[in-house]
Amino acid sequence: MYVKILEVKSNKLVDAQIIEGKERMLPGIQEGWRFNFFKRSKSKDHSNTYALVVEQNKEIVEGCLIYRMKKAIEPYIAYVEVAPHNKGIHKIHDRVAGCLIAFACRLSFLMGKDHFMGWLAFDVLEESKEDEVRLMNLYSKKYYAQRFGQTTTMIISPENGEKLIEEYLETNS
Amino acid sequence: MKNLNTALGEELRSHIIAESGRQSKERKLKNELLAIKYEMQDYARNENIENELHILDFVKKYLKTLNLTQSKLASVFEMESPNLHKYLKGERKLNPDLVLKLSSFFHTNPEIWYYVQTSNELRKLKEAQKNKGEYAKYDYNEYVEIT
Repeated sequence: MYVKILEVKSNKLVDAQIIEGKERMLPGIQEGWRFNFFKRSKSKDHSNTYALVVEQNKEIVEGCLIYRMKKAIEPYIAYVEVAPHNKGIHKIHDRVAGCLIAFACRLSFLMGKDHFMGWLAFDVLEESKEDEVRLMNLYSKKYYAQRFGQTTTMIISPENGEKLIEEYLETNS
Repeated sequence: MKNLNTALGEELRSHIIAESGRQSKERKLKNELLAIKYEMQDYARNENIENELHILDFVKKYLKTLNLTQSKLASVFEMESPNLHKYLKGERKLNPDLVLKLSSFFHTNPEIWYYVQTSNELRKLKEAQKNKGEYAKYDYNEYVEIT
C-alpha cells in the first residue's frame, strides 16, 4: 500500500510503501530494534508481518508491524516498532508509526468479523509502570486509542480507526 | 499467567462485543461500507488476482449491505435496469455521469470505480502480452520507407 511519511530534515512528505515483510529484510535485535521481527514473523499463529519502506530505498526498513487475527476473528497488533533511526530527536522520518497503526486499523475493517469489524486491540508492555503509562497516554492522544479498564490493553474503535486511516493513508487521494 | 491472560482475553472480548452493540445503526452500516471500499481499493491495486471481479460484484456487496435491489438503484439513477446492468457487468465502459452517481450514492471517491475497470483491462493486457510475437508485424517500419 502506498503511503506518505515525513522526512524530518526537509519537512516534506516522501513516498513510501507498506509491503509484506520478506524474511530476508526483517530486522532484529542485532540491528538495534527492540523486537526480533525476523524471528517473530515465523510464528504460526495467523500473523502477518509488514514492513514500511521508502520508495527511493526499499532496502531499508523504516518500521515494522506484526498483525494477528486472534481466534481468526479479532484484529490485534502483536508488535509495532519504528526503526532506531526514526526514534529520538535525530529521527529521519516521522509518521511511520501512524501509518502502520492506521494500516492495522484498515486491516481490522477488512478482516475483523461480526462484532469485531473495525475494532483493533493491542497491549502496551514496558519494563516500568511509568513507561507504560507514558506510552498509553501517547497512544491515547496521538492515535485515539482507549485504555481497557486498568489494564495495559488499548482499543481503537472503528470511528477512530476511520479517522486514522483518513489522516495517514489517504493523503495520496 | 496463562489463566490470567485467558480471563483478560475473555473480558476484552466481552467488552468489545458490548461496545460494538452500542454503536449506532449508522456507524455499524458505515463499518461495513468502509470494508467494501477498502476491498475495492485493494482489488484495484493488486496485480495478481486469481478471480476477476467486476464493478457489479462490488455494487452487489454494497446493495446487500444496504438492503437495496439493483432495480432500485437503476430507478434512483434514472436508468433502465438492463442498461445499468450492462455498465456494471463491464459490457459497456463506465462514463463520468455513472461514476459520479456511484461515488455519490456509495460515498466513495469517483476514481476508484475507474481503477477497478482499468485494473481488469490491464490484467487482460498482461495476459495477451504473452503472445507479443504475434503483434510484431504491426510495426510502421514494415510500411514506411525511410530514406
